Amino acid sequence: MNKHKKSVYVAVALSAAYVTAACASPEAGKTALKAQASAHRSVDASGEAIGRTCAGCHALSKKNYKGFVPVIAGMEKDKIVEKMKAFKAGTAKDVTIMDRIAKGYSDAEIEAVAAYYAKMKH
Amino acid sequence: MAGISRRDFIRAAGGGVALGSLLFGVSNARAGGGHVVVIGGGFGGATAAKYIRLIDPTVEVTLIEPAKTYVTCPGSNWVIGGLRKIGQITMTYDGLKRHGVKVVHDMVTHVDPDKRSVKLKSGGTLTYDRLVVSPGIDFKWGKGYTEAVSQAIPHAWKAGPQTTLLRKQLEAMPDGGTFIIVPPNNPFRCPPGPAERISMVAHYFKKHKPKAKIIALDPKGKFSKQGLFIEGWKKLYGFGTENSMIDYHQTVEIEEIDPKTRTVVTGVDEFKADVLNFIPDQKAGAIARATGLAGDGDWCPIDGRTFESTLIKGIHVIGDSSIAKPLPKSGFAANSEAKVCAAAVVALLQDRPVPEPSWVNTCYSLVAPDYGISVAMVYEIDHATGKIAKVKGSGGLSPADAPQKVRKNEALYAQSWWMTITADTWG
Ligand SMILES: Cc1cc2nc3c(=O)[nH]c(=O)nc-3n(C[C@H](O)[C@H](O)[C@H](O)COP(=O)(O)OP(=O)(O)OC[C@H]3O[C@@H](n4cnc5c(N)ncnc54)[C@H](O)[C@@H]3O)c2cc1C
Repeated sequence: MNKHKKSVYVAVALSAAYVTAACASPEAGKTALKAQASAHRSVDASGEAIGRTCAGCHALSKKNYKGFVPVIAGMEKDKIVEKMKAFKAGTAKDVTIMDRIAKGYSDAEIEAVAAYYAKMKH
Repeated sequence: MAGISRRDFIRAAGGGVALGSLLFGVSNARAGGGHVVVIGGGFGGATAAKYIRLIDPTVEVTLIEPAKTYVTCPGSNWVIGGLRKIGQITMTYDGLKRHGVKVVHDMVTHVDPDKRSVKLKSGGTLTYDRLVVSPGIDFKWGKGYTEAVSQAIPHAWKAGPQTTLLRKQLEAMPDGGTFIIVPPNNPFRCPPGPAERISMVAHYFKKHKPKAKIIALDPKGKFSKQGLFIEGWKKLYGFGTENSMIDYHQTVEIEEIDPKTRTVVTGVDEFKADVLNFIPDQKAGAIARATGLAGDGDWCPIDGRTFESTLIKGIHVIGDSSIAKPLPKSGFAANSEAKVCAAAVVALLQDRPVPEPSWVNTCYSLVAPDYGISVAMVYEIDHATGKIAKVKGSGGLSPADAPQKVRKNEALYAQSWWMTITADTWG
């Protein structure tokens, strides 16, 4: 009765190909390449400009905060830098999403955004 | 002081507004101050209003938004799946008022870019030094789906009563019934939204209506986070097996719907639903198009460094209405764009150089309450082209075939993100 049944199987087949493409070795190779070549911005942004974007997920105050994403406001600068560099290099443990995001910044930007959060009271 | 009486302004702004910029004339460059009008109190507009005040408290900011409360689309699929109540995703404008934003509950009916003024439905007129426009989306009605039809067959693509209506229909549907969802063509707000909705409905059916079916009739050939969604659907909802709860059809030619029988007519077949969710194709909010900010198109071209319209000077367009590719049409992106826009607006008012922008987007989706997936990206200005670009090597999808712990963490992060972004936007 349902002629679209065919397209479901196409969809499944397609998706299997998709999943494979996303995790098979050619792509993994690409990821490794990317890790080396990452974060070559033409111009660095300020700690402030980057810091504002972090506030989408990282609450700026521990007061009344019931979330699961760590509060980085007021954290030591060196600690933030160390963690961000580990995320960027892919050596951090217990990674959820920050490895993907840290690759977006130059080392100078990581220093700048760490300084921005270290100065913040929480 | 083009075309505004002091009385009109005070009435429009609810009284008690400092009239500095208006009484002493309008100029583009100044040491401080200036008046910015923001249209729309959603993710883009509310963030812009707040951050302009945070960056320079000498700037007067008036936000125009008809509704007294704002129901967030993020989390609205969780309401549809029974994980949240609508009240838990409803925001007020009290937080913005604490930042000194003048919140006027009204509708902008006309923008005059030459006089730099906006007209309100209630009759008042406001002048601005810079205008920020973030009116979200409008729908392209057609194929038998009209605004009137949407009162019975919800799109639920603007959160609020539409969300509640869809939830009620799913609750009233008998076990063994069929839920049909028709996702829109690109570009549309929240690319992973339809698949998250399917997941949330599947979660609800699995618990309460195990014999019910979900059919997706998608005009497109692929969808956002497709591999990750399908991996989750296989694990949780039997996808791809004889007993699959979800049938996902791609590249479907949607001819029309018959609202009376809740039937979707496609190029090949007819599908009859017990509950139908039709999500129409989309375009920039009406006020943006009526002002000419979209030119002949559906969406508004902008300069990524400032979000100033490339068509009309002095007007910035952010959020879903703008063409900010490769940034997606998401609440996260609207918030990120608003911060870049706020910094640029303050710099332009002070005749200073615009700071170097930076953006992030992360779209989380729940496949089940303890199963989250995401796609993330960092963006910059490519100075060779002057356009917004992905930072090479950054971002990407959650890993495929990850352990349940990773999925669970991302589910916690998704819910955490909702708390933080709403506090950052309206708090
Ligand atoms: C089901 C669903 C799930 C989603 N989930 C997510 C998610 O998990 N994460 C995410 O990042 N994004 C998500 N989104 C997308 C997100 O909701 C939008 O991208 C975001 O709301 C865009 O913000 P905006 O400011 O452009 O528009 P909106 O938030 O829609 O705000 C526009 C506002 O402008 C007002 N307005 C319109 N015209 C006028 C006028 N003439 N005068 C005055 N005011 C006016 C409206 O009343 C409205 O309040 C989801 C969307 C949907 C539909």
